Amino acid sequence: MEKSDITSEIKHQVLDHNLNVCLECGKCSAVCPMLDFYGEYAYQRSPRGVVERLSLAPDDIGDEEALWYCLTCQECTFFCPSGVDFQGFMMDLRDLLLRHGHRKYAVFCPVCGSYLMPKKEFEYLQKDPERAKRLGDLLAVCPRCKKSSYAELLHRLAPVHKKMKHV
Amino acid sequence: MSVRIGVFVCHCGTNIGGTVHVPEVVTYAATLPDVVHAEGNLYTCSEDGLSSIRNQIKAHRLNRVVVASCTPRTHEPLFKKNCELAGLNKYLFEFVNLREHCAWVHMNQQEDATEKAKDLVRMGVAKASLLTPEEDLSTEVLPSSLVVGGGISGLSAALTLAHQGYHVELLEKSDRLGGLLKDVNRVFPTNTPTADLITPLIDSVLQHPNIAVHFKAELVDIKGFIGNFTASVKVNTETLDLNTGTVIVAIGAAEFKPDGIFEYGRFDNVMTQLDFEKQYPSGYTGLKRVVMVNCVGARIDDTPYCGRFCCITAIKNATLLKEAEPEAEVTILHRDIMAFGKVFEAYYQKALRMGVRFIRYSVDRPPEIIGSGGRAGSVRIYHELMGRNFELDADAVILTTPLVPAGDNEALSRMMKIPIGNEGFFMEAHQKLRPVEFPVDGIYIAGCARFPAEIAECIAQGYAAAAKAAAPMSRGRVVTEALVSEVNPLLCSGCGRCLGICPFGAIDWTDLRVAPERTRQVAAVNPTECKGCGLCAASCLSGAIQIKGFTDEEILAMVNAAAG
Repeated sequence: MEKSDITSEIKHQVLDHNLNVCLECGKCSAVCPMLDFYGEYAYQRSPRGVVERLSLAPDDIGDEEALWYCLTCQECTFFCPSGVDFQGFMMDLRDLLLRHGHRKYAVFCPVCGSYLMPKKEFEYLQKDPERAKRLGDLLAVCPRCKKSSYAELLHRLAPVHKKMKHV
Repeated sequence: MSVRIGVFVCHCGTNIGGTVHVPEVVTYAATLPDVVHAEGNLYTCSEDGLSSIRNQIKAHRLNRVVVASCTPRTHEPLFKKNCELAGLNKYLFEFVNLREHCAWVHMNQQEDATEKAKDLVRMGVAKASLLTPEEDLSTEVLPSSLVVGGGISGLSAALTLAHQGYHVELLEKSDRLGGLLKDVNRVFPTNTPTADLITPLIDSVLQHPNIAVHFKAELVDIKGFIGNFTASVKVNTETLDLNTGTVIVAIGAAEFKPDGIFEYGRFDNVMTQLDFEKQYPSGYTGLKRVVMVNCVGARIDDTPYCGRFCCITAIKNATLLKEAEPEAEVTILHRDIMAFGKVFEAYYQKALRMGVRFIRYSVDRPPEIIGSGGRAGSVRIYHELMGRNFELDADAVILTTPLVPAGDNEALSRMMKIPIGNEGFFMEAHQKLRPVEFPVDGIYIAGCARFPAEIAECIAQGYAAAAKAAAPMSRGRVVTEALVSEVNPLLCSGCGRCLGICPFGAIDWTDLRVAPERTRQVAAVNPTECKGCGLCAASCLSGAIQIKGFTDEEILAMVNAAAG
């Protein structure tokens, strides 16, 4: 796809998720749990900053790591007085970025290769050995692959299931 | 005829009686000079007390009445009316305030309070003996009104008065009615064509038998006061004299032309909102990228006020552009969005949802218009929070400017003696309580001459001014209190201080004949316009001005009574 296509698609996403009704009140940044994660307050990385940046200049975004900070927890969407669906927008935007090959800030499932989470978050969670130990294999594969591996285990533990196949 | 004073001291329940020993005050009052009757009442304002006043006036042939009770603010008219019912001129009544000025402020000093009450009554009696009978002033009010200005406010006021049966002289400076609205294509928030709104109004004004419309008319001078104004109006080459009972000022305002700023006048495609509407009267197609800059010439040092509805005008044109060209990029650069009330907030939200972009700029780093060859090509804006510049491409740059006072305000203010505020707009008598009146009786204000107002407000103010003007005209007469100031022409030195100081324009020059062929100019008070405030009397260096009911003699008698 051409670069102009991604730009026009972002424009549509901006309208679809009500990003243009942002009044810049800053409530989203205040409730954002990733605030600690930004380090110190940085407008460009906050939901409000991302909204403004993308409504104003939705180009050259492949190299922008700020778009990969959001946890998509929905806190900002819940608190927004104007009804900006930032979480929904973020998920759609990342989907769009991946479709256009902007993969450098994302981590993928080692089994199926589907998108797992932003690299920044992944690294953060694994940085501290204690934390990594507590996480166990939680981040090893994507939820879908994890589910299939559980299903496989269930199949092995429950032979009755095999019998039912013959009924 | 000798002075015969009756004193009525009120207990006001326990309000006065609980602190002041009223019987002692009554006994004391009876000993004062010229007092022929003194009594105490539980409530002088009750029917018992009032009938006692009436009866004692007759029984003792009283020719002065002093009531010592509460505040004149609430009860003076009542006592005066009862004096009149008993046949006594109401200006022979004197009020002494024993409640607010004595009992309530000295609740813990009963003996001292009683002594002070005696002092106050003595002062009242001293003044009462000098009172003179006066007559209320009454003047006829002509059932016609002069409406200056044929914009939406003037049209609304004129039509309302005409429907009520009053004759209206409508003055319009240009050769067409409708004012600024004539250049506006569509009106917010309904986006209906302006013509639908204003044409029926203009037609009914032009066809109404009670309205005489004067086009190309210029108000040269206006003389007179409530009831009978005489306006000299120049129409083309001839001068007309129009006599009316009231005047409504609805001269509107002008759009600010930002000459020399934001490249206005340098680039062809940089224009004001009104220029834009004039340039695209039939539609908004053809423009793909439009940048609007709000607050041009508003909320800055020179013009510190907010234009109130310019934001909505910008939103209106942005919405219309978007409707005509959904793919067009319309950006509004603003300092704050003023979208007040239930309608405009929804209007703003609608624009946001349509995709109109709103970007805030700071007054310290205003947008820069960049272009070449007589045309603007883009606008550079510093985004405060992002801390970087953006360049927005623009086929047209529209500057949103506020309304500024019309050029005629100064002249009209001098002519009618009506005040102008700091911003250059006319100033109403009271910001909250008297929004369409002037301190001068009989002159009213409506619309943008007072302050930028949107159409609905202009119409409402037009109706309000018409209603206010109709009140004295329907009564046919205005009655004013006789307690006004008076100039003794023989003492007047003609210095003119009082003329400048009078807030109501009630004082003017008059010729005093000092020898068979010689006259000199002295001040004279028009009693109909005078409100009896006393500023002129206080300012007079020659002691030539006295306020009836508060003459120097009367005041000094009170001072002597207090000191002696």
